[in-house]
Amino acid sequence: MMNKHEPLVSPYVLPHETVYPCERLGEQYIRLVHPSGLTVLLCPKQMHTLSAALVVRYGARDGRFACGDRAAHRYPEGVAHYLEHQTFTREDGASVDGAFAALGVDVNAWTNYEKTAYILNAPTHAEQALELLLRFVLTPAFTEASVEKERGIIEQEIRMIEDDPWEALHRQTMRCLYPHHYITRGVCGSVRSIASITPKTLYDCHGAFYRPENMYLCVCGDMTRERLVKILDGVMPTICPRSGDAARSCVSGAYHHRMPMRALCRSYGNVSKPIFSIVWRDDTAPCEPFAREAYAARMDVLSELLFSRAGAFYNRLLEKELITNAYSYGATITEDVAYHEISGESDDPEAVYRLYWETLQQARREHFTAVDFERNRRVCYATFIADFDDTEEIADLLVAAEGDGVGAFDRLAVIDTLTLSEIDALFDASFDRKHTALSVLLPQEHSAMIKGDTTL
Amino acid sequence: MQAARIPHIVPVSYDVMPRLRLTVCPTDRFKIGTLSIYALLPDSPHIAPTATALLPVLRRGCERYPSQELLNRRLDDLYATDCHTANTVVGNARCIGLISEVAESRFLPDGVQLLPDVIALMAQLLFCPVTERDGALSMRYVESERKKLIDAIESLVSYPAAYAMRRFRTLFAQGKESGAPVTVEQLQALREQDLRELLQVLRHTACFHVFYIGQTPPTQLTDMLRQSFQPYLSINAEQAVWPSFAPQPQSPRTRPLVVNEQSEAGQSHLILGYRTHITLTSPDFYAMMLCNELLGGSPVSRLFRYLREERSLCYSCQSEYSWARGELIVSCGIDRERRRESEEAILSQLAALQRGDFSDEEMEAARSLLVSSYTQLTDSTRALHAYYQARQIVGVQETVETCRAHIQNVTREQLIRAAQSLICDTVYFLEGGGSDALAEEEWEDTDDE
Repeated sequence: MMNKHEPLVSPYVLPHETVYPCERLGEQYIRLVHPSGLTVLLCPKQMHTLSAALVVRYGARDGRFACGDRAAHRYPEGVAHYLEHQTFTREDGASVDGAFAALGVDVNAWTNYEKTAYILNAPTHAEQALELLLRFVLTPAFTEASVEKERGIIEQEIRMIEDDPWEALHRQTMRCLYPHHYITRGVCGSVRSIASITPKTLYDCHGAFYRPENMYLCVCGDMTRERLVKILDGVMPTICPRSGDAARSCVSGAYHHRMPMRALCRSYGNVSKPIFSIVWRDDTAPCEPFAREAYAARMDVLSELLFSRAGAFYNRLLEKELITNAYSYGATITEDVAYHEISGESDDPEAVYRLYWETLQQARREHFTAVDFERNRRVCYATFIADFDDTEEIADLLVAAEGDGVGAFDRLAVIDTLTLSEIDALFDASFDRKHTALSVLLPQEHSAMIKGDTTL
Repeated sequence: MQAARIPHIVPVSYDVMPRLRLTVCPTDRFKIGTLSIYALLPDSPHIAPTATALLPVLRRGCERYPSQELLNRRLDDLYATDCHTANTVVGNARCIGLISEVAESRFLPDGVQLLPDVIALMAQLLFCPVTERDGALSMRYVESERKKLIDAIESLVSYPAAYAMRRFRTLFAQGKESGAPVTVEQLQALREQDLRELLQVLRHTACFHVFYIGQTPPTQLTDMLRQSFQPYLSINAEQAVWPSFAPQPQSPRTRPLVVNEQSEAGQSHLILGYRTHITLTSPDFYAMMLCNELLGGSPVSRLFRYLREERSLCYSCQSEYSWARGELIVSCGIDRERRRESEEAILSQLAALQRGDFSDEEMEAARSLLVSSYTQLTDSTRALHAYYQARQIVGVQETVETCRAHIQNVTREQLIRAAQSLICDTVYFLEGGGSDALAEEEWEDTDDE
């Protein structure tokens, strides 16, 4: 597989340039730092579509930051997401979508708590599309009119999210686990918070964070290192360097571990049947990136062993008719939060909660077998390799890995060398009652009523 | 074009048994292959709920793996092979079966070939369900799956956009032979015997298609299929009749049906349904595809640009064209106060296309994106499967490359003609509470210092 690719390392080797191969998957990627300061990750792959993500290390958590000698300032909630929307607007007020469409390229963006990503999928004109992506993200053009126009669009996005009961449940659950933490807030802000955002707000934040040294570019597709570096050499000097000072974000979410948490949260919402979340706050997840990645891989296998649809817990719920088809489980482990969550829809969430503890107790008594362990390790392995068929998924993996400070293949190495005793040890230290909460959204009376009239 | 080095994937079909046909898209480009097996039956108001209820019962367990736990463990042993039910309508055909995603052996640590076991399991699931002593399907599974299906329908009221679309589809299909979503009442009325009768049809008369995208050679696949399916599909083999199916455009109402309903959600949802005689087999098919792309198929479409970018009426507004029944559906989430403005904007944008009031630049951007979407499709086994399976059902032999060439040849006049064929049939508005319904959340300021 690997010999199908052109050589990754050329005589023009940039500082901090490294090749990361994965023989098992027949994939490799290169990581380099361009002289502009932009970090680049390239996974060459013989596919029709080239996918790319230009990532800014700026997200919803960075609401308060300082620049240079200036004191820290708090910006309105939702400004990172607003900036993501506005970045698509050119000086004449038109959207950059048209320029990409003329190339046959679709472009999109997303914002989460830690970062903002601008993504494209280019089955054709990949080089022009990459150049355009870099130019529009790094060249802001905000006007009073365009910022005002975007407000209505984002208000509708906020209303759409507010109508999602799972989102309401998630926010409630996070308030149980991490009171006052940024994760309890919506990425988009609120209708009220975005009302105060102006072009100046956006220029301030763009100038502070949208800087090559605070960004990275992930590319996967039919692209060589030489062609990519040539594009960057051509584009970056014309849009860099930037004036002004870089931001120093004043956010730290990690200290929220060890804060007291609530064991039970209940509220009412527009649901026809209760939806619930059983969540365990994991205060023991490591901080160092590779240790955290290895820990997350072990937690995935443990989670599969305990809660998968092939496991005892889910099948007891099914037999007792305590669960509908809506059921999910898994761990979230970042530098600031770590928790394991089971969520679903049930007539009796408290019975599900009881069964959760019974299952854990039984598993502690009986221990995992080598056969069960191997099966669930296979699941994690297969889930990992499935992402490597799609250039967009690979670009996403590179985005996540670079954001987390690890290699994209590190998880595979951990899965390969995992042992049952490691999983047993992790289980012994996990899922204690003190750090577990049940969060439930109950149906409001009459919420399901739909009234109407019909005309022909 | 750099991508020209990547070989095209061209499907080839083989008659494996009188009642089983195999189509293979040979490729070694993917780590996960796709395999499906499905029967094609004439669609009817009766078969829709019956198939909807039967498939999850079959997926619940089989003779060899009689519980969900044992079955899912078996699938996990096969490197988390995915095996889910498929129940779709293409024109006047209902496709009932299973679809699996299977890891290619060269990427597995032990190099094991999973396909023989996966095929054997699929045969078990389709033909050896868990039964009672009297041969009836397991009543526990029938009732449990019925309850889950009903729960799923009833819980839709919690998701306003999904609820609105389901409600719209029910109204859109009123008075038609098929196309309406399955109802709670239909599921409640089903007897175990109805499910068993459909199973008998699958066992005794139905013809099956197997569709595969991956690197296993057709000769090996043929052997695996014979080994697993011969015991079940040899029945009535000499009387096998391969039915033919076609797209089924529906005639529009003489006046649009307009339905307004209220919900307690914050956002309102507006959906307009149009009908056209143009389907996959029509000469103007590609013109209609391009018309849809230009109207509401992308971020540079008329609806997205005019309703979202210029008027800030919505977060998204899109149109979707379904060739099997000649339907085009426009939908958007809006403020209740701006319903009239939004509807007028949608109507005016379609009217502009019908008059030919659009620029060459817009048309070329839409064409470029549509062609690109077909190019992208060839990078995904799932998308390739959907593309070729649907065409196979209605007997259209057309590669993705041919399809792209047809789109390049669509003229302005053809596009206008396609737009003019659209007739409004149904308008549905689910009115939310608007700004009053959204309680502003007071956020506590964190102490981040």
